[in-house]
Order: sequence, then C-alpha cells, then structure tokens
Amino acid sequence: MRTLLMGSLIAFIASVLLVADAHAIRGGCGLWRSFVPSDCCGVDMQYQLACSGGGSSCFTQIGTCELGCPFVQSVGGCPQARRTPAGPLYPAKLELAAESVPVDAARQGTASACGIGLKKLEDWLKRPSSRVR
Amino acid sequence: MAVLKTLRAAVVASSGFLLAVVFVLPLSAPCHAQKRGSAASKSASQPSVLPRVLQPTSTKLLSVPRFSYSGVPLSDDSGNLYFRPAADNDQLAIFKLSPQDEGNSKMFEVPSGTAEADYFDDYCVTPSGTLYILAQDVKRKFHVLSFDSDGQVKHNERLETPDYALVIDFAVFENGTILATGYYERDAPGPIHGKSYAALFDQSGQLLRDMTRRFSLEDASSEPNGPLTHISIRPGKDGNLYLLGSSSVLVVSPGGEVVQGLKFVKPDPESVAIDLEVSQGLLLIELGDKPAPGKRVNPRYLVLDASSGKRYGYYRASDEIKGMLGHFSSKEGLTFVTSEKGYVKLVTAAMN
Repeated sequence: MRTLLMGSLIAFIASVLLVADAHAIRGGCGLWRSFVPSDCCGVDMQYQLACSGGGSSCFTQIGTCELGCPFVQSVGGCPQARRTPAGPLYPAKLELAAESVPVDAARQGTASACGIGLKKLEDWLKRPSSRVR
Repeated sequence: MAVLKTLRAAVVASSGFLLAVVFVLPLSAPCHAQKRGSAASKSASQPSVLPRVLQPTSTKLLSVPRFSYSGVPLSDDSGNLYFRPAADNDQLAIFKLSPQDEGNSKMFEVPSGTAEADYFDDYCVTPSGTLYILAQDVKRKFHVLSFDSDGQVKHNERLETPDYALVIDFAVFENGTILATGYYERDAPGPIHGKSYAALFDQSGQLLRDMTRRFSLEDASSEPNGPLTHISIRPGKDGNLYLLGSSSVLVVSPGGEVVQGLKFVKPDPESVAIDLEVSQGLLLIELGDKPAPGKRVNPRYLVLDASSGKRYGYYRASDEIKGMLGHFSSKEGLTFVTSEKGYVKLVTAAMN
C-alpha cells in the first residue's frame, strides 16, 4: 500500500512539474509582411520575404521602400554589411524569398535605390512651409 | 511476488499521473484556453473560414512625403505612428508621425558618437507614447535609450545581460520595467549555444528576473546564416505585455508573472501567426500564409476578446487597401500606411 501511495505521489509531483513550465512561445516572425507587387528598386518584387538571416551578433530586417516594396537592412553590428560601399541598405532580390535573407546574398543595388527615408524626413521637418499643401 | 507488486505499483502510479494531469491542467490555464485547445484539435479537419473583407471607411492624405523604413511601424494609443526611416548609415533615429497634427511630428535621433550606442537593434513604444531604442555597442553589450519630450536622449542604460546573450526583441512596461528576449550567440560555448534567453530589467538596466524558464523561445538555428525567430511583444493599456506565440498569446505582468494564457484557433489552420496588436479589450492577431518562394503573405486579421479569448471577428483588407497595418483601435478599426502621389496616405477600415 505504501508503495502504491509513493508511486502515485511521485507521479503527481512529476505531472505538476511538467505543466508548471509549459508556456512555450514559438514565435511567428514579427516581420513577415505582404508587399505591393510592382517594379520597385529595379527588381520585380512579387514575393514575400521572411524576417531575418543571422550572423553571430546581427541579423537582417526587411524594410519597405517608398513604393511599398521590400529591401534588406542589417540590424545590430553586422561587420560584413558595414564593409560594403553601398552601406547597409540593399534592395532584396527575388530569389531571396526564402525563410532567411543572408546579408551577403543581398548585396545588390545601392543605398539610394530605395530612397533615403531619414534624409527626406529631416528635410520635411526643417521646412514648415512644406507641411501645408 | 515482488515483481507483481512493482508492476501493480507502476500501473496505479500511471493512473495517478493521468488523474493528476486531468486535475492540474485546468488549474494552470484559463478555462477558455482549454476549450480553445480542444477546439483546435477538431479544427484540423475543418474547412477554412473565409475572412470578412474590410473596406476603407476613411482616408487621410498627409503632407509627409512617402519614405522608406525598416521593419514594421508601431503606434501608441493616440494613433501616433513610429517608423525607423531607412538610412545609408547606422544612424539611430525614429520618426514619430502625428496624423492628427502633423506639426507635432518629430524625429527622435541619437546623435552620432553617443557613448555605447553604436548599432541599432530594435525600438518599442508604450501605449502612452514613450519611445525606447535598443542599441548595441562594439563590445556587443545592449543599451536601452529613452528620450525627453524634446526628443533628446534622456537615459542610456546598459542591460545586465550575460555574456553571449543576443537580444532580438524587447518591450517596456509603462512602469519602465524592460523585457528582453533573444538567444545566446551561435559562437557561445557548447551548453548555451543557440539557446533562448529572456529576462526582466529595471529602468537602470539591472537584472530583476531571469525569465528563460517562464517561457521558452524556439531555439535559434545553428546555421551561420539561418533564421532567428522573432516574437511579437506588444504592451497593453492594462500595464501588461502581450507575447504572440504560434497559437497562443501570453500575458506577462510587470512583475514577470504569466497572468494569462490565451489559446486561439486559426480559422485557416495552415496560416501562421505573424504579428500582434492590442487595443482596449481586443487583440488583433495578424495571420499569413506560410512563407514560401513565389507566395505572398496574404495577411488576415483575427480579432479576439482580450479577456475571454472569444473570437470577435476575422478580416482581410480589400484589394483597394494596400500597405502595412500601422495602427489598430478597438473603436476606429485598422489603419493602413500607404502612399498616393508621393505622399503618405492613411486608410482606415472599421470592423463593423
């Protein structure tokens, strides 16, 4: 009888432990998005792109061009991206529409192909007259 | 005889285990989650439910020129939108677009040369509109920067993360507590290599609680260029953070307690959970087709009651609406960011 009680008790404790740490977050990628198919950045972007590739301490992120098309931009300290003359902004290519977008493979085009959003907005903020149309 | 006794003990112990599971599970998860769970198993063989098509109910053409940006736009409860504008360098800047009063739009810029803020990693916004930027220094340490109302850097706090921890996503509670999630780098020593990491920090970056055992992230790929799994973390006006899983949403309190676990049933079982929005009593889960070359995401929006998990609605945008979801409001509906004639245009679609 004692053996039976012990067995049940151990099984009960084991089951409690099993459910106590049962919160598994298996994330969807927060950056998958659908993009408007159009000829943008010189590349026909009719594909979806997944979120990121990864190095040891950096990863790539999908951005949205002015025309609604995707591009790849490095996030974090990406030495391989920073070394390229075009800077860390690359229009993405069709064949990169897989689950990862390696930075090296994304070295296409130039930074200006997608438009430099920051500069454009800084100019807009500096010119109050341009805000009234 | 001894063998028989052992066998009987094992059989009864197994029964005890099953009983324990039956009784303990309902205590460890909300009732609706269980109901949803059982419904989920049934839904695998059920046909997909078609989403209701959202039509534009209002549009607003702004004077802001269209621009390129990284990642997805975020928003606060007032409907302000936050973007990371694309730049040709590592400039750390976030653009706050105030659609109600464009004159209040501003750039939150981290001046180049700011100590220990060398690379941009992520940003987040609280429901009240406080902006935080996650940056990395050359020694691979992570810093959280906050700003004053003039857009100047107010605080720059280093997170007390362990060696080799790579923070991928973060969010900040209204009380300033920081939740950071990610992985141990692929070049980390054996036992922790590629394992997930999660922790809570106070406003000064001091470790409050290691959360890795409270919820587990999918392990990082061991491939050098393999994908890293992001999770969508969004703050709620109730002071909690909402974490999106593949078929569940975890609600985490500022103290690090998992206060609720909502399971949801995807109307199309083949779809994947992409992103999450929270607005006063409602959760919006963005679903999309599984990524594959040649396929588009085709986003759909599953809206749930945040307290019960009950389905409120299931939608997709009409073909007329193009652009990214920028803001979700339980009152106004879904607002998409798009452009027209070279300017930013916001298209709102009510849910009813």
